[in-house]
Amino acid sequence: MGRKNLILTYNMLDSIDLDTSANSSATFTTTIDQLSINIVWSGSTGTNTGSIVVQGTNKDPDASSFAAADYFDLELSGGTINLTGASGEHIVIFDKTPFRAIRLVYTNSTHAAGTVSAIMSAKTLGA
Amino acid sequence: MSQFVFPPLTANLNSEASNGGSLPSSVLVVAGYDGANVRAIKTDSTGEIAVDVSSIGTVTVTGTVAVSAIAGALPAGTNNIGDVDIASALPAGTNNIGDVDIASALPAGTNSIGTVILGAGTAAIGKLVANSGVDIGDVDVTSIVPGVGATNLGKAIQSAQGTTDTGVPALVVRNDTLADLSGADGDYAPLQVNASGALYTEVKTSALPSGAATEAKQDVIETTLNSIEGDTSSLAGAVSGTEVQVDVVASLPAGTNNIGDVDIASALPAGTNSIGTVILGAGTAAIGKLSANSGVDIGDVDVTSLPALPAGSNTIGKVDVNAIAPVDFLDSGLVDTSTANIASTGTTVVSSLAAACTEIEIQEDIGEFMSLRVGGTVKAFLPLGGGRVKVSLAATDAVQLFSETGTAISSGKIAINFLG
Repeated sequence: MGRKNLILTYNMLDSIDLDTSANSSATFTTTIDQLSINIVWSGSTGTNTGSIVVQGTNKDPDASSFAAADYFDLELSGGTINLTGASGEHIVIFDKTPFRAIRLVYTNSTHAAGTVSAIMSAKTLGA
Repeated sequence: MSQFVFPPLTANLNSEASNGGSLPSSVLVVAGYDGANVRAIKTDSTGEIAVDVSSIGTVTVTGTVAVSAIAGALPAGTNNIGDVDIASALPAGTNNIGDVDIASALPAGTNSIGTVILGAGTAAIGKLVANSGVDIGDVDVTSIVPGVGATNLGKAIQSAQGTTDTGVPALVVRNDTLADLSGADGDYAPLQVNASGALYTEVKTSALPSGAATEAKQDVIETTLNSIEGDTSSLAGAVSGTEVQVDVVASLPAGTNNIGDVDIASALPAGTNSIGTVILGAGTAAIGKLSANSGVDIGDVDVTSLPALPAGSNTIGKVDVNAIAPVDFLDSGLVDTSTANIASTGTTVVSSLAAACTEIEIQEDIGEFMSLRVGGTVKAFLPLGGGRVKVSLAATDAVQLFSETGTAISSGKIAINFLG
């Protein structure tokens, strides 16, 4: 009998500033079958916009030859993950993770003060 | 919270149904693709598919196509609609067809436009172009307002006549034998003239207005006119040129009577004629020549000038000469040259005259040639041994004595009376 892999809680984005665009570190998914990412943001009132894109890659992000262009955007049902308004929450569900690694790319448009976090939970099937 | 899923969801084939089957509880929404973007296929509120045909080939419709509205304008350029019949009248109210141009001439033959009605108000036909030989046809003019200006055919009653006013001359009928041309009483008839163009007129036999001249009263007027003629002839006899001659047959009325310019053509009548005070005008008024009339005194007369004596010998007779009083003397009264020499360059001032002087009287025992000067100008050479000499000296003149011998005079005395 194999052993089931679990990641209970992992902060891909840990309270980063909403007014600054940022990228998460690469999360390796070669041993993960399903995962979800809970995106939560809270900032100032007003017209605040920004977006998060989930990128994947099949190359080794730790390799010296790896470049940002080696990531590709993943298309999701529901369209673009927009962070609109003073605060909010999204859930991104991956039924499959056939990639070597994924990462989150946060792009700020008009957000001011505030923070955004992305908490991932993952597991393998069977085993 | 929104949910995003990877991989993207696919269609649920459980929602499919066979042709003629019942409607599934959920259905697959189908979209279209325009070549660049996905587009939703829409229906109206009743479920009918809304179709916009952007381009289409030849379409033959065997049924009836009902068009409720053409939403947009026809595209730019030429759009041939073909034969368009308006089956019924245009709807009530305002129908804007737009600008309708007849691009070419109407086709040959008769083109019946129908009834053309100009709008009420200021609708104008425009200006007709001169085109000799083209008849307008049967035109009914229901009313004409000709205008009353100088170039209009109409004229207003009691308006002033102008020298170049436009009008329509009246035609009259030459009728050498005057006759009725109207036919019946109350009909229109033209004016008639004879062969010479004189207008036929008739003096009606009804009585003239009250007081008017009649043939029976002309003799009375003639008598009155003759009397006036005689009176005016008499008046004409009193006129000389443009002036009426007037004789005053009686005395003028008491008080002031201004006759004006009166010429006495002949001598005043014999006897006493009292003219009153006669005042000669200022300036050059002259009395004329007085006739000798012994015993008549002229009174106090000032003679401003007398005529010169005639050439030759003139015996004047006794003449009284008014005494001339001296106006001044030498300052020292008597000049003793032994103590006050008279130099050839002149003495000091011997007198500053108190008044103008016309003559000087000298007494001296010097017996030398001397002169009297003012400012170096000789006014008189003094007679040897004394005497009188005419001079012209002004008041305040500073008088000096000069020796005319070339040397100073230092012997003898001299006195001078300056006469006015």
